[in-house]
Amino acid sequence: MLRSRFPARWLGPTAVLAGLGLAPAAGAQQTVQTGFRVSSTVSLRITVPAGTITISGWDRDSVAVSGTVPPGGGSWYGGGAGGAAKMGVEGNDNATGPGATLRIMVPRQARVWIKTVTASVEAAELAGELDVLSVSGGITVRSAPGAVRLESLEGAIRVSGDSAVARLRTGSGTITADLRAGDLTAISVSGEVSLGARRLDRARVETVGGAVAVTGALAPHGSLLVETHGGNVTLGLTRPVNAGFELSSVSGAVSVELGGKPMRSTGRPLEFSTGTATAQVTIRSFKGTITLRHLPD
Amino acid sequence: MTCDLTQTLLDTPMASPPAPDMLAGVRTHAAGCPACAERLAEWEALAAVVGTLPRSVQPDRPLWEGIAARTGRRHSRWPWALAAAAVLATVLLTQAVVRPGSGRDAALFAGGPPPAVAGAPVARAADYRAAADELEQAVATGAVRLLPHSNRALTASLAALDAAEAEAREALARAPDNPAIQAAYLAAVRHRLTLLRQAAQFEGSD
Repeated sequence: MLRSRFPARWLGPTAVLAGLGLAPAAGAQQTVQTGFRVSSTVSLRITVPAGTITISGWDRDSVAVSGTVPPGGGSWYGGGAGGAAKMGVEGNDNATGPGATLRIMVPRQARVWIKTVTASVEAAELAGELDVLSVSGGITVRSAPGAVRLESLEGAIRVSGDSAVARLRTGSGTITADLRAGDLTAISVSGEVSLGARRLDRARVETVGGAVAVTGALAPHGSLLVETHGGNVTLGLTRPVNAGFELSSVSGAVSVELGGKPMRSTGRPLEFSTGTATAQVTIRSFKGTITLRHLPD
Repeated sequence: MTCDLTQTLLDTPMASPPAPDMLAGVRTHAAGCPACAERLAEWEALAAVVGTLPRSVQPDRPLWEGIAARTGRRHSRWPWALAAAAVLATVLLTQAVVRPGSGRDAALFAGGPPPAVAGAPVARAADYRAAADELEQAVATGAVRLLPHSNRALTASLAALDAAEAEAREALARAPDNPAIQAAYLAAVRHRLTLLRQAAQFEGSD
């Protein structure tokens, strides 16, 4: 049984400040220091337009929040109990005011949904499901072994550690994923995608103009699908490589150097297999180049 | 494995189904969850049908001549005009996105027609384009009001998509039966719709 650090009743920042005789006045910085008890799998919705959010999982059945909202940056609100909680900053919906700085601790198995405009998000040690939507905020996630869905129109997305399922999407931001294993989808319009995996189980990468670089090892029955319009694709694989390959670019050059005789092609698909061919690699581009090579041992 | 994770996995495109160990996790979860068992059964039925389909289908007769006759070969005759129109649309669209709420938005958001060629991907692309146009129109008329930040973020991406779409359209005019080009065109249009939907999640306020 996990212990709770906070009483079951809701404590808002206003209550804390009022207790100290410091009710927030217009134009004053708001200090947030509160917590409340929730279930271990609480669904938590967080809306913070501007600033920075640092959220981490811990082994307690409670939520704790600390931080500040500067003058003109809106007002903090929040509450919840049991299986649902909600918090955020209101009154700065278009993110035109200064940003809040919030540090949030949640039960490790919490299901967390975060929406920001320009605020950046750093998340770690969350084993439940994590959803982050942002317009231009960067999103960094470390060690989130559950399912993560991260979207930012122009912010950079970085994921590292374990993720069973990762769905990453951006317009012009970059995507960097360094995963041990898992099921990954990374989609970008013009941002570059860099994927490193110790064991590539299943990955789908799509870009329009962004370059794609994938390095790592293929799982025995792993699959990799990369599609770009103009983005160049570089795939570096560690030995041994047991896969069937379908590589095609309508007008870009395809180059393969996997130890044997190098293969080159432009305008014609290259299809071949290596080793036991249990994994599958498909790379398609409209005009990007495709380069496949071994990584140094 | 949770219900949401199961749903996420079963929502992935049939072209790249979940990895075997993930699917095993879904089956284990579904064994104790009637709702997910039902979703899994639907997915497996669909997967069985999809599994019988060929990876690609070539038309049994050349299509371009008939299409060209009906369209007056305008795409192959004036590909430069299409490209120029696309560039112009890109410039105008960019201005519209940067300056939301201007009276010119509705006209500026109007996209070009889908290429007059046959093929399933192109037909699907027309559907995607129509949906994207609808969404752009909603933005232009204020029915969907984007945040100023979203407008700025969209600008660069839409310009890149316009260019990609124009290139694929031009290539399609030259080789309408090429499945790789059809796929490229479809992808550009699909990315456009997805991006607009992503931006529309952030509605602005006064």
